[in-house]
Amino acid sequence: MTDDVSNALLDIIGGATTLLEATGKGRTFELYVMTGIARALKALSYDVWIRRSDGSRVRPTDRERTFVQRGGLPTGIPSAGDGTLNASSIAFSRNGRTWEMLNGVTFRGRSQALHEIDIAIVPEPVADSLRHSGGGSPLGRPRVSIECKDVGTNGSLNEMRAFVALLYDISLLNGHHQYLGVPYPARAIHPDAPDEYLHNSVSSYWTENRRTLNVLARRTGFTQGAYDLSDYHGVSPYAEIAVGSREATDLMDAVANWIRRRLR
Amino acid sequence: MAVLEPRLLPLIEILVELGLDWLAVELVEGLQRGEEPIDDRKASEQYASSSGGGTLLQGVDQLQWAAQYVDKRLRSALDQTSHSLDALDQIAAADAIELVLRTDEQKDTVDRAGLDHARAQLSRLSEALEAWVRSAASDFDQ
Repeated sequence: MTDDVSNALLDIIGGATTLLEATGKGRTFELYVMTGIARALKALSYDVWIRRSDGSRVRPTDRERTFVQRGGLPTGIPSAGDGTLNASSIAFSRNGRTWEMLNGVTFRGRSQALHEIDIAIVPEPVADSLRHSGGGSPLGRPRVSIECKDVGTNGSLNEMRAFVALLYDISLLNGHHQYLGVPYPARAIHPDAPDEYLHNSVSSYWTENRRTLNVLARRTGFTQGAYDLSDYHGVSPYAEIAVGSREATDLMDAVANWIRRRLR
Repeated sequence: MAVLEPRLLPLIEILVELGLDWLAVELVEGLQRGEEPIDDRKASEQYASSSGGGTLLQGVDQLQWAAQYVDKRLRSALDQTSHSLDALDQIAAADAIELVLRTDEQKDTVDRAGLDHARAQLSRLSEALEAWVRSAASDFDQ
């Protein structure tokens, strides 16, 4: 009996070797959410494309048509000089503005600690600047941060608290810049964020939490304590995210619509 | 915390031997926490107010839960990957985008043909798991 189980599993793994990587199953969920958002953006008439780690666009006629996800230890934005084999991203553009959706990239906080964000959206100039200067982690906060949890337990107060703490550390407000040694003018994210309201630093966490989109997306649900903490700190909890679920569609549409309204 | 049923060990060993140790760990943790059966999981007020713990299973119920968990978890992962590949094809306006999961040590690749092959084996896996549960359960009766 166990031989039949073993043989069936072997055949399944043979077709999908990504199942073998311990971090792969988490990355699978993240990619599902990320590509779902990209598809929703495309439906809103955005130009959406896969960007290789050297910055080039994957075109339909290219021989190399791959999307690379990084497993293992999280890292910053890869250097373009290291070629095309590092993590890909999804870029999207409308009205002359381009943004980049990153998967599993680390962001540096005010404490200098590095924080991995499962899905993050940053202005293209930030990603480009790092990509073409040897790679690295942006300092500051993406305009969209999504934490993905493909786990069986309900999201606890501690989990929500950890996400809020992460957002706190990567928030660069007015006044923080004087001791961080970043170039003037003050921005919410460095390097090379454009000089406009959306990227200029603001005075309070309240404002920063509400002009960004911060999502905790889970396969399962949340405890009541997690819900209680989320609203005040501007975190949107999304439960029951699974293939074919109404909740998954709601999440992807909500993120795409927020981008259309707010990232103009 | 539930006491693990010893007859679960052959399934756990298979998962570990095949490199699906993450699934073995999830399985053991889920049983020990008394995790909800994944088919019955809904976003209800009652569920949201709980800490995630459910009924602790014993004996053959653990085997049935474990078989169901392995089946549903792999099915879910393959469904997610399939949707992602479809979306990537749509984004790139191209067929057959290949997905690569890369670490410093290894590179795992999945394409549409391999994924379809894997998904086609799921019903075989379900049947094999059901047969394993029946066989192990009959050992209980003896």
